[in-house]
Amino acid sequence: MSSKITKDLVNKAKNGDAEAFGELYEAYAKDMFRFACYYTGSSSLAEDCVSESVCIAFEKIATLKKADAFKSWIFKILFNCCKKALSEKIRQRETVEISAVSHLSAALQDENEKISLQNALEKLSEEERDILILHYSAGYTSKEIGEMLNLKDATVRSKMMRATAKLREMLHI
Amino acid sequence: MKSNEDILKEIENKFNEDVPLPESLSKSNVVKMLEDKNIRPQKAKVKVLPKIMSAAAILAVVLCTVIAFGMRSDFEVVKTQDETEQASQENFRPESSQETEKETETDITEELEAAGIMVAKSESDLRNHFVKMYTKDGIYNFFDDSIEYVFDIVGGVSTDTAVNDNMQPTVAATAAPMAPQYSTSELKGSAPHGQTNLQEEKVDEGDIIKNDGRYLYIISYDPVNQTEITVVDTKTMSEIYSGLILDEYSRAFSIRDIYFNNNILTAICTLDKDETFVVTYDTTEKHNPKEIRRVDQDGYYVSSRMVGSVLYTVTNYSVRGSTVEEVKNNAIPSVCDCYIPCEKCYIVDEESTRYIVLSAFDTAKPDAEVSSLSILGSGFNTYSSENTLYVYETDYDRGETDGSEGESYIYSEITNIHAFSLDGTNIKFKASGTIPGTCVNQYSFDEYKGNLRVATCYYNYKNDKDVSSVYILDGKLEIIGKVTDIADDEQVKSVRFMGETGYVVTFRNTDPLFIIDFSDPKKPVITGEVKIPGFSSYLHPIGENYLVGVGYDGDEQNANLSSVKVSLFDVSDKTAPKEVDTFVIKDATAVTNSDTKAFFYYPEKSLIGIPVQHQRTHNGTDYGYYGEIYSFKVLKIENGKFTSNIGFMHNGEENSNIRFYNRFFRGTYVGNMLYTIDNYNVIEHNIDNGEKTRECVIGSPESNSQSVVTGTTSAPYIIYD
Repeated sequence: MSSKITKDLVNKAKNGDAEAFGELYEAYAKDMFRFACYYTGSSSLAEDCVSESVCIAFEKIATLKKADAFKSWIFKILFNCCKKALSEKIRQRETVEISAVSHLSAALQDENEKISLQNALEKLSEEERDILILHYSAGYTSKEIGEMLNLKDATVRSKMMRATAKLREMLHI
Repeated sequence: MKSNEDILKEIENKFNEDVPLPESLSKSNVVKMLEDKNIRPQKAKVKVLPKIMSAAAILAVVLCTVIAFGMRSDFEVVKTQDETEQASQENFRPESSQETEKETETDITEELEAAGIMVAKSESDLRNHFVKMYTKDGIYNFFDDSIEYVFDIVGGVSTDTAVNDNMQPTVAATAAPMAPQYSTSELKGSAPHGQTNLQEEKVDEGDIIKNDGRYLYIISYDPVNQTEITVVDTKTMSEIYSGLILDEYSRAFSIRDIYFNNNILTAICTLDKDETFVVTYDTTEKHNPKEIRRVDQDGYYVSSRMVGSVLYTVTNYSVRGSTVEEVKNNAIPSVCDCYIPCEKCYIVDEESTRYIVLSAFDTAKPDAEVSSLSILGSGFNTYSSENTLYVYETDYDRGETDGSEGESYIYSEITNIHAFSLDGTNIKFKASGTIPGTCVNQYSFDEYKGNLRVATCYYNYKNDKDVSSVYILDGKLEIIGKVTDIADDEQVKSVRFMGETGYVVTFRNTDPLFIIDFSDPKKPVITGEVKIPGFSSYLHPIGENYLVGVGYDGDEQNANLSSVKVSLFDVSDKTAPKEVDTFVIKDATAVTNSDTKAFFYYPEKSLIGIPVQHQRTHNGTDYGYYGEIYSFKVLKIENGKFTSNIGFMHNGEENSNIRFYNRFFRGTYVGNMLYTIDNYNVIEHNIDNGEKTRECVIGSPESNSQSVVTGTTSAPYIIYD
């Protein structure tokens, strides 16, 4: 989506045009859902998180200062929604229903591989998982991730390198 | 063999494989949902706003500004305001600030005028100033987010979560002052208990842990690593409260610092890094703290101090925007949703696109007015005495030689200092000044009898040497005295001032501790020095005659960055300081190197404590890179010796205790009990015999134990870097 079109749509959305907002959303819908799946490990939670973040984003769109930043802005909201949902889930002492993601795992499972990406991610620490998902799935730079996780960007880079190495080993790449 | 790029590509592809989008999340369904739920965009936060101009009018103003101002400054030294302007401004200025400040304002204006400091003439002038900068070529970049990068380098903003990844000695830290003795009256007859390690006795500093003699207030982490406030009762060793601080959209604030004063808990939080919020709680019911008040302040959180119950918060606000309109709207920072009135915006650096914003309010009074001011300029660190707050930053002066006076002025680094006077909630901008060199940390500063003393260090390109100095500045931040070339070609590592004496540790190969006598502020003199291997990154006075240094070990040639060394100096003879005892911990790093507040001092028992992070190979066991092992070292000082030492193991004894990343590690005490705290556990030990007595899990037990299981049962991975 060109930045001119984005700007135009953001302006329309700011004036209450839900259709325009829907178009903005559509461009990132798949990325958002996939991101939420990886993050929460559950497609039903992911669905809730995406719709919740869409509601918040539309309501708060006036706070978006730069139209170009729409993607990173809406992902930030999604990230917070996912965190909240996961936190509640863990607090309720429920195990995250892995079965719910079976179709996801299946979609990702390579014939030659014993371990899916989802399983591999679960073996990492939360921080490593956050960093990898934010980077590979949402396309954030180490600096942006650092801001979100309260880490220095050099720290993010080194952690990302290590986590990637682990993932690589687990996935036999 | 696959290349690195291929591998990364493959991993990236894995993350981006197609996942079918559920029908409920299709565009049309989402739009329908928004309509069904009747969700509408809210209007932008309503600040007390000047009237909004149309695009055409803005353009006209831009053109006019550019033409009208031409070469001259955008600002004037203001004595009286244009009457019409004033009238129009009163329409949008908050009522509170109108009358009370008028009188004092004129005094300051005169003083500052003499010093050449300008005040914004009107709010629209200020906005236009930024628009003008924005439209000028080359300034565009200043509005880019990349500005934060500079911030991080120069920064040194003490965030509690900052990870000191590569144990570099450059970020040295000094710490503890005389034991702070603020009000324990409400806990009459209670046992002595630990307090935040403060630089100035009467100036409280925000911390991640506060201890009131029975309850511990801790900034902990929830299962997904959002910060929350946890209250632990040390009587029962149980977590009695824990909760996130949320905004109206359920977004969790990142809690940076807390204060505790007479049952009022104050939390300083940030959201998206450029908004700062102060939230106060009444903790009369410990298990159910009640929120009293929320104060918001634009800008990145820099630091804060509390004197009595008055909180001073410093933020750094960057003017951002990618269009003229955005720049105009963002041109002035706000506090409590009110723009800071223009006569309180001091123009220190006209070229700056950043403001330092300072606010003050009394946390004990729920409805007390919030006073605020700002200066156009920047600063990322603070030092505060009871009456003056100093905000400083490192800057780079590309100035060439000024060989005219025989003295050469080639220093690449300079420190800009801005001073604000504090008197309850009455805050005023006092002065700005510049000195050569950079400072190690807030302990490089000290105010004594109205003069400011600052130890700095800079690199002299002319003779390829480091130059360390101490400057004495008067109330107007003009240099009135100095000692330069303290050590030949050595860098300042830590500083401590006590009354008329200053202690400076410099380092190249060995660690000289210098004693400087400041009894005549205009003629400070070095009176004594002692050289020892390694260097201290932090100095703590123990009574009049002793000084403890904590830092790195070393031999004649080099510092050994992988060992902790604690030195006890006898400084009773100012001309001949002596290192009377040492204690070395191998393969470890002291947390105090990066966080001065982590130093522990128990004056009643003459104990000092140092939280230590051990390297991963501890006692011959390689832990891979899972977990960090912490212990707490407590040393007793008697008759100029370390007479006993006890190591309190916090984790790492058994595999099951090794956690993933620790965010912090601290110790505090109540009576005979030592509490070692990280973001997962509070462990109680008997401080006299080292016995571990009880344990309390905080934060997110389920999530952690889960991680621990996966982490320790699978084979360790190989480290690739």
